[in-house]
Amino acid sequence: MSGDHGHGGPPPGEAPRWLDHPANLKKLTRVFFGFAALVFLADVVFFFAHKHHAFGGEHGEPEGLQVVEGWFGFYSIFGFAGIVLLVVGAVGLRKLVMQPEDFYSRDYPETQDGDKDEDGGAHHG
Amino acid sequence: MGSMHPVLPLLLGSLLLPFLPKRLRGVLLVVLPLFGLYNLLGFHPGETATFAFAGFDLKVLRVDKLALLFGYLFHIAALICGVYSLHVNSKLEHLTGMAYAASAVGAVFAGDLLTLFIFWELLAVTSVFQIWAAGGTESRHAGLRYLLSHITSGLLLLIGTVLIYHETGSMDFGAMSLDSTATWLIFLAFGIKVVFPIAHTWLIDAYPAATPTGTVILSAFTTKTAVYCLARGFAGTELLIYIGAVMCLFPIFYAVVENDLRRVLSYSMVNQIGFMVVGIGIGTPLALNGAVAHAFADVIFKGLLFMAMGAVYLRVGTTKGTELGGLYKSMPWTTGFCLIGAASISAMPLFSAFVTKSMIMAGAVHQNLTWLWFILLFASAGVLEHAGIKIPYFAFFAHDSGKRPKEAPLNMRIAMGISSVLCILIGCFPAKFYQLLPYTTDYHAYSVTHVITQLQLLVFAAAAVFGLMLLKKYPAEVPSVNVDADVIWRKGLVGIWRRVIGPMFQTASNVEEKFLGGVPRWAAHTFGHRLPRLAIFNEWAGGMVVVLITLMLGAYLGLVLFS
Repeated sequence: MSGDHGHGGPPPGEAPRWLDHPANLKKLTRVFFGFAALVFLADVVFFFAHKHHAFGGEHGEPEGLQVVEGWFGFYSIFGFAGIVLLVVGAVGLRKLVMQPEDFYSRDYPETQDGDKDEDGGAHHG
Repeated sequence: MGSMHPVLPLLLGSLLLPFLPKRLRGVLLVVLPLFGLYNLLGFHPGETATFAFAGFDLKVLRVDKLALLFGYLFHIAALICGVYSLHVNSKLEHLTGMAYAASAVGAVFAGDLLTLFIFWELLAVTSVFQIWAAGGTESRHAGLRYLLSHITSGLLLLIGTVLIYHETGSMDFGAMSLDSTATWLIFLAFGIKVVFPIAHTWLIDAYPAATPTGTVILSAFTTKTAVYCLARGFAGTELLIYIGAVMCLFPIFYAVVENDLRRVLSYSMVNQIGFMVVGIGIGTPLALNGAVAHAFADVIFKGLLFMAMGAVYLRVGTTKGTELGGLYKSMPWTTGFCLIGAASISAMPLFSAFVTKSMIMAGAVHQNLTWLWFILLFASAGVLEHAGIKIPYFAFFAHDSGKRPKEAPLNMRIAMGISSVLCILIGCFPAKFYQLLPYTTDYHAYSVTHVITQLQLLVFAAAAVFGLMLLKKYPAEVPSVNVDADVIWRKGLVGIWRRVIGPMFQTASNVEEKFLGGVPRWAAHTFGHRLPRLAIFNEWAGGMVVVLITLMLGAYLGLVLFS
């Protein structure tokens, strides 16, 4: 295909790109987290302008669901916590279900002829 | 009335394809879906048509807004898939691909269950070739498992249809309730193809085993036809809310730890269809609108993501996260299109899912299903993680794999471009799109609240992902297989086959070898030619025998009940 089996690093002689410089990555990270802080603070807007929840909310006091939405920073915290929970759960799932790559194919020894990725990917459109 | 039944342009056209040289085939791959779409525009809600067949008056045409929406969708998908696969040399892939699209169109305009059944089976037998075309034992096995699931689904549909005909004298395909064996069988038949939990494994197993173009084609039709059927037959069925909620949840955990990125997308499909199933279960006009609108958007953005992965697969030979990375340097267009698909599926404002998924969630709110709303919100964050970030990141960025594959061929880029434009158009001009939906709606997606809260959800979910990566707590890509529900039969039943039934066949084979095989051997010896060994009882024939017996029993049952 192209170059080596790709276990690391650009091919020699290639000019580094913008994202290859650690300084730029740091800059990008800082911009992103700065943007995140602004997005979080957008909730302040709702202290002054009524938080018209996306659906309903015209009849005065919101109840049940809409109250939760009205909590300061609800969506930001939910999004963040949700991912943390997801990753914790996924790591736990992995402990239960992860198996070596040949878990199924080893039952069919006659298929161990390297016919999988290289063949299927390279010629077929 | 349009000039010809909606299914005909694609169906007849597909039969024409193998006889044409590659250039002309390419032209037809583009022209036929366009012509089919043009033909479809001549049909209006309320039109019907029947066709006499085997003593029945089959309702082969039933037009309403729901059917038309899916009809438009499938023609657009056929066009995009056609452009995407222009470079493919195989006549078989082109023929079966277009016939597959035609089957989906035929199914959604079917007015009765028998017509539906015919197209249901056609869906299965045309699509399996997209898997087998990849070649190799892995794909052959995956295709056979795929066929078994789908033929089972078809059988359940057939038996259900026969029972309904027996009970009511009619095979009309309309709203049903889960109150008889017949409707339960049909529900399960739909459920297999719409990837209910446990039954979902055929999708995870088969889609990554297809060719680069095959996976894209597969993803567009079968499951969405099944979504249509659920919306037609079981709208408002409460059970669907719970099934859909489960479907939204478990795949996002698998998606985090899957190495093969096409498998990640396959789990993502189950998750997205879960949203649609939930919407159908809620059953209100808003929720149903949301479900089918999301189905429409999903075909486009899921197709786009599969197309990006297909391009990577074509150029690099693998879609395993462990072997990719840094591809943006030599595949910038593919990277860009992938990012658009990622933004779309994550429901970023200005992209398609932002204006469709929220209708389903609004539907949940209006029915006071608070627990459900939380689940859907959590699932939405999960989608951003695996499809919004993981897929573009591990394929195109992350650590530089050193690989510098060529950019995707022009036809693939054009196909991805068309999808990208559609994702943005739907996202930016939802009102026009809403006019196609079965129920009138005054839902507005773009309120200040919705935009800000959605941005908060997405940005902070992303922040958590990046934060975990920076802290080195994010699970690494590892070459591995993650066991799913199909381990029950792939290890369990196969074990029984190998230890009990297989040896029985082996004995029969020995008998055949010694006695029946003796005749040809004597003939060969006497007349000096080598004859092929009669291999009736080898392992693959065994599998085929099971399939055949299943079909025969089904046919017998049908005959008995019909007479």
